[in-house]
Amino acid sequence: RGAGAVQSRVRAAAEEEFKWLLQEEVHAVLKQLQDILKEASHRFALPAGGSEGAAKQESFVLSVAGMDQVKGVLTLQGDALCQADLNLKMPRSNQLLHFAFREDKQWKLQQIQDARNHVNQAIYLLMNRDVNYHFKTGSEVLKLMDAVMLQLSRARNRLTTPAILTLPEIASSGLTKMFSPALPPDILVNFYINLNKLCLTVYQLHALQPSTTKNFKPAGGSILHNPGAMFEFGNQRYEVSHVHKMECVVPWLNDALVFFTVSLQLCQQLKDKISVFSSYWNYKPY
Amino acid sequence: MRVSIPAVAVWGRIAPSHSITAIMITDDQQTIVTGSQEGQICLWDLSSELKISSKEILFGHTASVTCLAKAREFEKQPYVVSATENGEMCVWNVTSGLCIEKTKLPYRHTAIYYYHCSFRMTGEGWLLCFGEYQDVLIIDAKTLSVLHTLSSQSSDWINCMCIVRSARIQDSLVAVSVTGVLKAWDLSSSLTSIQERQNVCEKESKSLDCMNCRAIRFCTYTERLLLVVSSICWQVYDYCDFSLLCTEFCKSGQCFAGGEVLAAYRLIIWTEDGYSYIYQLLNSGLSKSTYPADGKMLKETVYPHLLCFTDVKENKSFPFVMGFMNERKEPFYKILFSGEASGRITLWHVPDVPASTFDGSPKEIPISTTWTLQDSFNKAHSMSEGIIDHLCEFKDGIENAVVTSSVYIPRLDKLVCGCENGEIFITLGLETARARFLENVSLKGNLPHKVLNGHSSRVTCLLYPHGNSVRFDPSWLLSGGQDSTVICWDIFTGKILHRFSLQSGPVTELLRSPDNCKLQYHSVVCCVCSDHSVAVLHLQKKVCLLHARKHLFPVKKIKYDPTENLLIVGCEDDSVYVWEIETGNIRLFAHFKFCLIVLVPRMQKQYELNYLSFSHENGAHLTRSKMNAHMLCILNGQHD
Repeated sequence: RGAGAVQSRVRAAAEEEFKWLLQEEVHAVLKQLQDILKEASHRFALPAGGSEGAAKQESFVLSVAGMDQVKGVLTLQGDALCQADLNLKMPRSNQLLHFAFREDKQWKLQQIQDARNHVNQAIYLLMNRDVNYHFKTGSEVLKLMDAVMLQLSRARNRLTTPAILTLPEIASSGLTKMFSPALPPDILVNFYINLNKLCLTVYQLHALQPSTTKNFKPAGGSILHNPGAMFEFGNQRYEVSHVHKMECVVPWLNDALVFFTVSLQLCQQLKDKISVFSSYWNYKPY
Repeated sequence: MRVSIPAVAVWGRIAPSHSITAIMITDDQQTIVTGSQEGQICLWDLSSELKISSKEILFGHTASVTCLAKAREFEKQPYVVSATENGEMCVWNVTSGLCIEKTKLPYRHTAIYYYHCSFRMTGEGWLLCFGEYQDVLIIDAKTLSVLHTLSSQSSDWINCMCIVRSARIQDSLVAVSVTGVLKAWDLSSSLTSIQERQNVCEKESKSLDCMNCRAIRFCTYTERLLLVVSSICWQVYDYCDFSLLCTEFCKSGQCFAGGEVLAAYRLIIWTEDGYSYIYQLLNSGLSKSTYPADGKMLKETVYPHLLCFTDVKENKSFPFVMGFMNERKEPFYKILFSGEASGRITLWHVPDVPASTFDGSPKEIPISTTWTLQDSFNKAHSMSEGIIDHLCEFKDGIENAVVTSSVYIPRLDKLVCGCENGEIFITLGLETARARFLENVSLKGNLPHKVLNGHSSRVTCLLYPHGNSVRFDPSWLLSGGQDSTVICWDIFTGKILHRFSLQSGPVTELLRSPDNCKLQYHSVVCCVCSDHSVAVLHLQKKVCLLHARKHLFPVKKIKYDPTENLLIVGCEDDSVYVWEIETGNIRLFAHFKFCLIVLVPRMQKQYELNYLSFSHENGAHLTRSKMNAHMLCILNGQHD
């Protein structure tokens, strides 16, 4: 029958095109992906092996507009802050206070470490999938793309989703013990990454007396707490009286985010191309 | 009093897909446990002749399984723990198939190891876990709550780990981080510190320069050798001083995935594509150290001699997960096992003393057994007919009743089945089920049914809008097909009321509009197509109100903003598109949770930047607050 002959010709053409897709196009896209992700990985400046080959240090000035005296100079080395120089002017006391990390101390920014590890996982998945590797089924490509996209989404989410912490969690984070001179008990500090920015928040607290008339309602978890938030820590109740929020764009984080987004789009486009073929015949994955 | 309703699942001819992502064999070698990408756990019986048959499939997880491990000493309780990509953990009794304990933690585990020291520890034992988080977590094996962490000086993710137990030295935990640093923690002497939540740091750490480390194993036979397998090579170290004894690289194009110590000076290493190699480590005597710093010190070295290898048959599917079970007690076997993405399990029986061939060349160990769920299904003696098999003709000996979508309408007791060939069958639901399962009578010609012909290929989705919302006309039945059409049927007469031709690839989902819509929208449904476009169809007016085609990623969530007649589409990459239904324009496109890009097609005016915040649970809420947003400009040519 004529219709049957046409149908089998269309199907044969589709199979040829699918073979081309698996042998040529897929490898072209994977090569592009590998190049982009290697660039992204370099931005994280992973040291070559162990503790040798220290990553380069970069300093960032975080300040509040209009308040020159309040600023932090943070030095980022790879995934950790190796120096934090804070100048704070607390409204009530009017003194200028200065704090810095103790000589031996570093604060690891887990968001950066996790993002870096996710990128390297994505690169690892693409290892050994160069032109010499033969994809036998479309399903194999789809699974590979799903696995790579999962890692890239996670890498991106780590940078766009700072931890939601309660004030007691911020107080007990160990960051308070990193400074010299020691931070006074009425100051809390928190660092995090938000998108492409390195952020520093300083909370000034005032202790609530047991005789206070204020209705004590402990604040829940948040990325940024506002003045008026209350909490209890170490048998003492506090209220946040003032919040300094400072941030600074980290250019390589910006680059990394762009790379993640472009890579995700490349992966999705390849998946869409493969999926088109599944509608041609009874697509059995194996 | 709660009434429990027992559920019965009846399987048809085709086995469910089970893409194996984790596999283990229980200590008594009677059960194989596999975890899949679909989230199910499958239990298989392993006979003493190494024959496999599927026993049970356990449902419960909602994401891909990442690892499996024993959760108790098997003689005491046959418990296995499973973990998934979204942090779920379950403890299962593999004899009864019941779930003993479950939890959901914000941790993604790569592997779990059970640890119990009965004379020092109270309780049921610990699960030592590592994954996409720093260092090692200690989780209570009974309650699945996080007890403590083993921390380190420079915390990072761990790639592989092993528990070192020997009579001579105390129990320790040895792990390699993603940056190639080997760390060792004392377990025995840290038990009290751990129980008291004190900080427990590693006692030793050494940089191995080993990236992508996949497995680390301590040789309990020599109590001296440490095998470290990374993707490009495997190495043997002396555990006493961590000196490197030998290195063997993989062939080009291959990638090692794991390994195990078979006996003193004998190892098995496997690759990610299902091959394995058995080596004998031969002592090359004392030779000059490879480290110039050691001067003239003579160091012992070993070199590997390939004894045997295993191969996989041609019909393999990636990725592979493999493991090895080494039993020293007779009559148990030494088994190399693998699970594949296609759901296939393969076993090799490794001889107690592997030997090369007579001329010294490596000998191949043949496959002992290979099996899939479909093999088990094909063997089944009594097969239930499909629920509508009796309604279909047999063409060329092959039934055509492959049901690709279905919907049950309780109010009308109608079961609607859409098929692979585009036909739609409407029959009585309860009557058919009763006749099928309870009375065992042949049904041909006994029950009334209707066949709707309208689609030229597979029916991909069905929707009876009136079922959930009485605002819709009770005669409307919607079907979506692979032919990219949505047909609105009159379910009582079987006539086609309207056919929407979308030209967007197969229709993947049909959704009715939510209840908070404007009144005029009680005839409106949404459909999602395989090109990620969303079409808003007005069933009464028989028009497509909006076909939103610009989404780059699959659609995850659709919501309406009734006040401004907006369609809000959330995609898998966390981007949000806000469409004006009347004009078909995109009002807003937001990427990431805290950043915003305003798109005003065909107009160059700068708009006030609104801060758009949304959460996956609630859909999108537009909040108006002026701010200077940092714009992350990731524009591509499609958004002009």
